[in-house]
Amino acid sequence: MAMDDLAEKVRAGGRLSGPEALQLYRHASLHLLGDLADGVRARKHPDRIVSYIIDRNVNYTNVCVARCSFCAFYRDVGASDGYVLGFEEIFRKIDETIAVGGVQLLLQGGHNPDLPLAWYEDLFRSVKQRYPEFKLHALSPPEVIHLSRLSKLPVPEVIDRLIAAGLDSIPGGGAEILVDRVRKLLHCYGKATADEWLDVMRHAHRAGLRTTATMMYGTVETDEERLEHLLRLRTLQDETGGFTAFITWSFQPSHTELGGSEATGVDYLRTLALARLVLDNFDHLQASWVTQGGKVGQLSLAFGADDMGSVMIEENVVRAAGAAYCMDEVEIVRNIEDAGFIPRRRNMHYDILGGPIFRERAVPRMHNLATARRDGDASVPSELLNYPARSRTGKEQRGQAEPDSGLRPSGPDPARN
Amino acid sequence: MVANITRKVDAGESLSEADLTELLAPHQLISLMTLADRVRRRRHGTRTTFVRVQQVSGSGPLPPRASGAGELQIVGAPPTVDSALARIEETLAIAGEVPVSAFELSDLDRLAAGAGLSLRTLLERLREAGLELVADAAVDRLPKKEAAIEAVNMAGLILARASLTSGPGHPPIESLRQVADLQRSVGVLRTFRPLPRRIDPERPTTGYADIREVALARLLVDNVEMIQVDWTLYGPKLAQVALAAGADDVDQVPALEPPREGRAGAAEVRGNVEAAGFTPAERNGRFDER
Repeated sequence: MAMDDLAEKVRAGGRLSGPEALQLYRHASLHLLGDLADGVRARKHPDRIVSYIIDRNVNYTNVCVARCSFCAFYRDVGASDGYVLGFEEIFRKIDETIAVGGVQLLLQGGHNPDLPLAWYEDLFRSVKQRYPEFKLHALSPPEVIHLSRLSKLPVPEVIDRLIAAGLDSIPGGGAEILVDRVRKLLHCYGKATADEWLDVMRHAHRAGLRTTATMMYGTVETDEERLEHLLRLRTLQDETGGFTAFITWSFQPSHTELGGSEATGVDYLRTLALARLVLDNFDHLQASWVTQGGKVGQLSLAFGADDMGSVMIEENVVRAAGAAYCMDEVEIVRNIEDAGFIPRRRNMHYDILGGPIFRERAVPRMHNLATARRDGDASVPSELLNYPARSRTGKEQRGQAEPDSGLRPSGPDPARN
Repeated sequence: MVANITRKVDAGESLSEADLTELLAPHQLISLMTLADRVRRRRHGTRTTFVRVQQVSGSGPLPPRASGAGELQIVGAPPTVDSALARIEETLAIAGEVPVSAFELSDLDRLAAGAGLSLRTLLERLREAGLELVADAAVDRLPKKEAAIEAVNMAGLILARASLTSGPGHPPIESLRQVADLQRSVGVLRTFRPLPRRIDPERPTTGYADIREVALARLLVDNVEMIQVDWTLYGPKLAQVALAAGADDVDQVPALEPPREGRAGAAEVRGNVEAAGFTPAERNGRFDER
């Protein structure tokens, strides 16, 4: 189809086929892609509202057995700089988040074999007990699969138990590219295949949870595989309608095993615009200022995004891979208004909560995002002793070594797994 | 309305205040980029030049010359005429065939006044010391713009770049028109860098503002051949997007390899230019292709 005809089809609200989308992605100018994506955004959000959320990215552990080659954040089991946050540390982070108007934690972490399902359930329950209105946007699909394997329970049951403990929604992390050829090359096929990732989301949607969807591009995938990722998300969204938003970002190569160079700013804007055109059944697209910086993050609003994501407060994963951008609420609001939009705070369900908090009361100005822990803090939370470890190192640390090892077993009830 | 503006741009007609007001609306950002890109492609096709610059401080030990440098630029305001002359001679001694540029023209204007010299006399002495290029003219800092730039020309020097210290401001139309008027008078500006040379870390410019100003510069300063973006100051991502908004020359690509963290070297600049759909061509400070 000629480019003009494709553009006309998009402007008329038609759904793009895979080949049509690929033709646009490969051959349309940046300006045409942006113009079309902006048109879709304007149709979906004629009120010119651009939303954002005040929440905190908390990574409860960096210990992970998945060993994805694109990740600079994880530490092996037993690593001296591996950590697990204690409940009290997490409560303190929630207090700080609430102090700046925050409404939820985005809680994700490594696949730590020494954290059983009961640890998560107890954490969620204790958070909800202390902060009944505070939301837990927690555990990406690969983490849910990890818990399913660890507890030998099916995914739907794990999800049900987490919901019962207080889980409010599931973040779309760990999707990378939903094509198994790519996942094998990135060493993330083992943590979740493309089908497994989608199945977790399907089960979550059926259980009544809303979730987001993500795409990390710029590693080894082809254009066709980026598009296949988007089409698979579109198909599931047709089926369940459970995704609230889509977020894409570029692979951050520093300090990773995979290495290489980062995809460019123009590539980001083209990919974002493509997503806006293909994902016609998604209401919201977030800008990834944390990987692209504030300037390209703001330009995202002209290329299909209608949400500036999170104030974030804390970030550990992309920082480990070299990106260290910071935007507090003042900066996010300034960028939204400078782009001609109306800033509104939201929750995870994209319900509008109000205008900017900082205009109503003084909040501390952030110049740098916080990290999970101060450098050198190697403390081990005392409550970990209440949970059975799986790894030898974990057992030794918790005094749970096997009887025949000569170390005295103690503590946890083995049934609490 | 944008269709009518496009027709005017294609016909080379001046844009009215109403046209510019329409283009400055945030929701017209992509239309503005598209128009600037049309003008840029008409002038340069897909060719995008870049220059690797090694900055040299105005005093202290000189670093070894970077092998990839296409320009050695002496930065900072010289405290005395003698120190300026001495630094030029020292830098020329390590420069080999690499062009040497030095100083910002308004700093030289003040230096000349303080030394009781005319600007032209000072520039002639710098030329006699071997200088080829005045590194920069921040036109918003020059009280007598035309006279100062003509003095550069009459002294036999070349102006490597013209810029604005604090950016065109809001709205940027007037200051950009002044640059175009200046060029009509002097006719020697090869490049213009519209984005501010100084960024307030407490209130940095936004992506929209930067791209809008680059695009408007391409439309309004239509008599200057090249619109520049500073790779080091603005970073690879913004600079790359600026190429799709009318910029055709990438300045201040670090000459030292490996580049400082977070800033791209020549290979990454080439890759980014190509990824934006343009054709990279490296030049030196004399604007000769390398």
